[in-house]
Amino acid sequence: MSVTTVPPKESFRIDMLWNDSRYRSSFLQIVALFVTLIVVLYLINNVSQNLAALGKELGFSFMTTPASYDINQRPIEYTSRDSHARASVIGMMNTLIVAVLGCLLATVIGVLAGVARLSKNWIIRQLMTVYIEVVRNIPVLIQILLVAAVINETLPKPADFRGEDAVASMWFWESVAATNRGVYIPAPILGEGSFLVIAALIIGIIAAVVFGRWAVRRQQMTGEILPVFPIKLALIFLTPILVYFIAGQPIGLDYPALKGFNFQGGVHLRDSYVALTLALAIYTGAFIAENVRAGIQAVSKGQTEAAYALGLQPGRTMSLVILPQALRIIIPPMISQYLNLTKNSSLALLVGYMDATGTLGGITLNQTGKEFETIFLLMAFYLSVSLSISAVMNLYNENAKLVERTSVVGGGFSFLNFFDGMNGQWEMLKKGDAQMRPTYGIRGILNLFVLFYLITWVLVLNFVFVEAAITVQDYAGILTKFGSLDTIKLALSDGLTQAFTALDPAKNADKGAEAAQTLLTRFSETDVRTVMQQYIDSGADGDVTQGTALAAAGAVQDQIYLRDSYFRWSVFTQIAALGMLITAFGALITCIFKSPRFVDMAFLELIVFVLAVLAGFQFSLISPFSAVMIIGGGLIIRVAIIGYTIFGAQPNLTFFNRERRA
Amino acid sequence: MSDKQIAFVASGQIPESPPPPSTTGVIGWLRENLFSSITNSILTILAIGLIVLMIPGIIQWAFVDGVWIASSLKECREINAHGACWAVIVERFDQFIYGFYPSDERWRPNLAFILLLVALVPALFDNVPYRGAGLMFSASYPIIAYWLIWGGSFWGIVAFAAAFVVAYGVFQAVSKIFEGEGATIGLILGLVAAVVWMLVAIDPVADTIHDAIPLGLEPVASNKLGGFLLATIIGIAGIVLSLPIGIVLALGRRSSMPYIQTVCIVFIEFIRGVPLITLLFVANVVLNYFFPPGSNLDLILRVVIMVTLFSSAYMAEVIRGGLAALPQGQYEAADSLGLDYWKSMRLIIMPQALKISIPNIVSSFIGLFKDTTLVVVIGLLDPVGLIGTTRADSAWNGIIWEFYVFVGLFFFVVCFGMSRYSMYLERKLKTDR
Repeated sequence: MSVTTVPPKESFRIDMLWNDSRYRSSFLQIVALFVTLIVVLYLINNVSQNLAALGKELGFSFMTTPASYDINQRPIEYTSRDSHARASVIGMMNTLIVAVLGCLLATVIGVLAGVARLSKNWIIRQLMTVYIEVVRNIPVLIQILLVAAVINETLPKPADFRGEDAVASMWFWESVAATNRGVYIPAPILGEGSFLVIAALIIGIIAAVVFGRWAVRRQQMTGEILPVFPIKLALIFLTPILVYFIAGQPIGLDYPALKGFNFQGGVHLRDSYVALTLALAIYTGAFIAENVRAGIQAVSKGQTEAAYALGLQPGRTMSLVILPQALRIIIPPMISQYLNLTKNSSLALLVGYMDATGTLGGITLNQTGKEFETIFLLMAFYLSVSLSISAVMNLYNENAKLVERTSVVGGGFSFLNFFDGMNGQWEMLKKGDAQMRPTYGIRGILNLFVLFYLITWVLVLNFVFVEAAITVQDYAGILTKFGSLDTIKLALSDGLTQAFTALDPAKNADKGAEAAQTLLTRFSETDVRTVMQQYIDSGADGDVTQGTALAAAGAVQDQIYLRDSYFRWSVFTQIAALGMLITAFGALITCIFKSPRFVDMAFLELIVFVLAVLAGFQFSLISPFSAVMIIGGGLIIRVAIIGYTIFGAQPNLTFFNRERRA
Repeated sequence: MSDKQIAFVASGQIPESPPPPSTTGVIGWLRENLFSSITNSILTILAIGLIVLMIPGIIQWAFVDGVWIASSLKECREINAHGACWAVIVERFDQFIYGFYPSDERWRPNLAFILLLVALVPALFDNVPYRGAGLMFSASYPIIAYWLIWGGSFWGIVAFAAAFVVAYGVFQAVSKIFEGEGATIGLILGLVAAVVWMLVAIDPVADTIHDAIPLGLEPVASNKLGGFLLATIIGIAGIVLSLPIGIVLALGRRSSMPYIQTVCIVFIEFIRGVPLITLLFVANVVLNYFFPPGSNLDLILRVVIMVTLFSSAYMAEVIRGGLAALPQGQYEAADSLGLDYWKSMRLIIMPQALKISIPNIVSSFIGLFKDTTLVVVIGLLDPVGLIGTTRADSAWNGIIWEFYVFVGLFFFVVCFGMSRYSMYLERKLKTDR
């Protein structure tokens, strides 16, 4: 008989919660959860009490009321009668304009300064050090204000350009005028046949890319090096120039000219815009210069020496050996500098440039007194821009890091896990196999997806925020513009065009045409006819006042779907639309970086898409082209992506691009 | 065949000949560094041309033709039409330093500034006598400075300081009771005790003592503060407070507890994703809603809160970088010594991680200090705000460069000094090779 000693059963004691590592972490987290809950509830309680004391209510309906302020730089149509939502969208567009152009300019300045700082030339090196140290150690706000003040106070007034003995003169053969109200540059006029030139440019770029790939393959097979660069240059620039002359010079330039007190024509870059972009680019350029310098210096000297030992010339050493390695180090901090530039562009407020902060966080906030809502939207905007940029950065890092034989998908769940049994190109892509990564088959189809997602992204954004942000009051306004129901009757029976000729052509032609155009783009003509006919048949005839016109508008609203502003949709539909946007955007950027994660994004998008339809997201109300793109193309392409993944390498759609190895 | 002579065999070493004169000395240096190729020569000539064109002009404008004493821009221009009008800086100098702080009370910010230097010495340099006592003084400096600048009852400040004593007492007591993980629970309970003390006990205690023994300085309203004084207050408060919060957030983000990790990640990414301006808007119009009804928190205090939150998120990322750079072996070594979490962090991990991240911490401080200029968007009169009000004055309307040169120079000196100090620190702490 063997005796077994049963270990005494350890009973649970209260101090084991914090002494025993089995319970400790859960216990601490529960405590933390409770503490945060209490704090959050306390804050919410305070907020609701304070709001109640002031008689305020939370809600976004103010976004659809008329903004009644003017914005001087508008990328899309806008009048002060438009809603706050539209004003905010214009502000956000202005922010993005400054951010994108500022980043481009900052990159140019930064790369030049960074390379110059490593120059062999002592004096250039010292000058660049002075530039970088001075600019980096002075607040960007001071620099923006200084540039703005210099532009406003030292550049000539438009009036100085007038007369025989003008004080100031235009630059570059009378084409550019730098005034204290901003810079005027020539604008292109697209005449008939200009699409040929643009098409030639696009074809030229595609041809240059194809040629480049072909040349690389040829070099790998035969060792023969072609003069790639001049031929690419010729393809990109000579083709459009040739077409330009063959088509009879369809693109002209609209030069700015002094008319009255100001310049007319051309493109007007406002002083506030110029100051902001310039100052941000100079400031961020100094930081980028440091990143570039550090990146180039981080590539060990042995690499250069090894390249020389192989007999590479200095230029090719730089482009083939040093830069590819340096870029891996340079690009992540550079992208975070772009992020900083975007966030710093909110200082536009102080030079009077109407960006998102100036519209949403400035005038809209002051006019409506809705602090919580406007600041929430403002933060959400900047947050989504920042998170998108950092998502791009993470994908780049994943793409650029040295490829090892591990899954690039990493940990966590992925829909790709369902297809673990598959092999072929997708398996290779998933495993990050260095040899199989640049397979053109996958890259080719992903580029198609990118193109598609780009279009969807623009259309959905346009639908949700720009086109849809129309208030009901506007419809009443449009109908009252016609003056009387008789003219509307005429419009309904004989078609809108005839109605306008019946109106006083001198006075109302423009107004009527505008109203008709608006009506027609929002309702189909048949819709208008049926509803108005019903309204007339119901006996509401006779003298027409503004009130009856409004009633007519109400009737229209009842029976025809008004494309209502986003903020008036039901919460569920709003969330569904947002979800579609986010997943479509996620799929776009994952496709750009050829990350296998895009399958997850496509799956999610499909799910959200179905949910959105169930939630009552009415796709039929989108303008026909967008509807076809989003519904037809959308479903097909999502299913195609998923199918393509499931069937692995079999449907090789881009067979003409496939690798040919001898 | 065999007697064929070898043409030449050196019988001894040839004496070393000097390098060609064109590669040594001044000429050699010039050739190497300025005229090594045609492009370089052109660049050199262009750069020298630029310098010759600019430097004498700047010196002429700033110093030779500069006007130091005048009462308006017109007078300046009459004295010298092409020079800098520094007179405006001379006239408004006090305003640029103190804002609208009452002139009789200006010894208080001055004293606070001197005490700041005293408090910085033990914190920045080791090898100073009585460092322990000095560090105690450094720790209590923020409260003293607050009292000096804003004034008010002395006992209110004492009662506020007592909150920390209470927290520390509870922490010690709890750590004694719960052995093992006492530090974590002690920390939480200490914080709770301090919050309770602040919410409940401060006002009655301070009022009671103040009624018995009145002692205090004349209160100065926040809207009187301005100029470099304001920038320094916000900057230093943000710097001092953001470092500990940043460390806690960084540890939280690297924690193995999913809930704590998530909270830290959401906080950090949220703050880093929005511009400081939006947070200042929050401080200006929204933050008051979060406090109990009736409490009207001072605007500068609200700004300091938001600036601190902003800065601590960046600090957390910097410190997380330092933590990630430490080899895993350090963590394992600390565990194998049997140290608990806080001890291993305090004694093994943090000293090394902080050392690694010093350059980035300082550049984050520099960024914070530069960002203090942004408070002008909510109407505070920091130096940049004062430029606006002074330019609007009809006597000085039309001056641009002088203001920006003056204010820019101040920020440049401080920020450049900080970056040089970080380089010194980096060199001093480089012990591993």
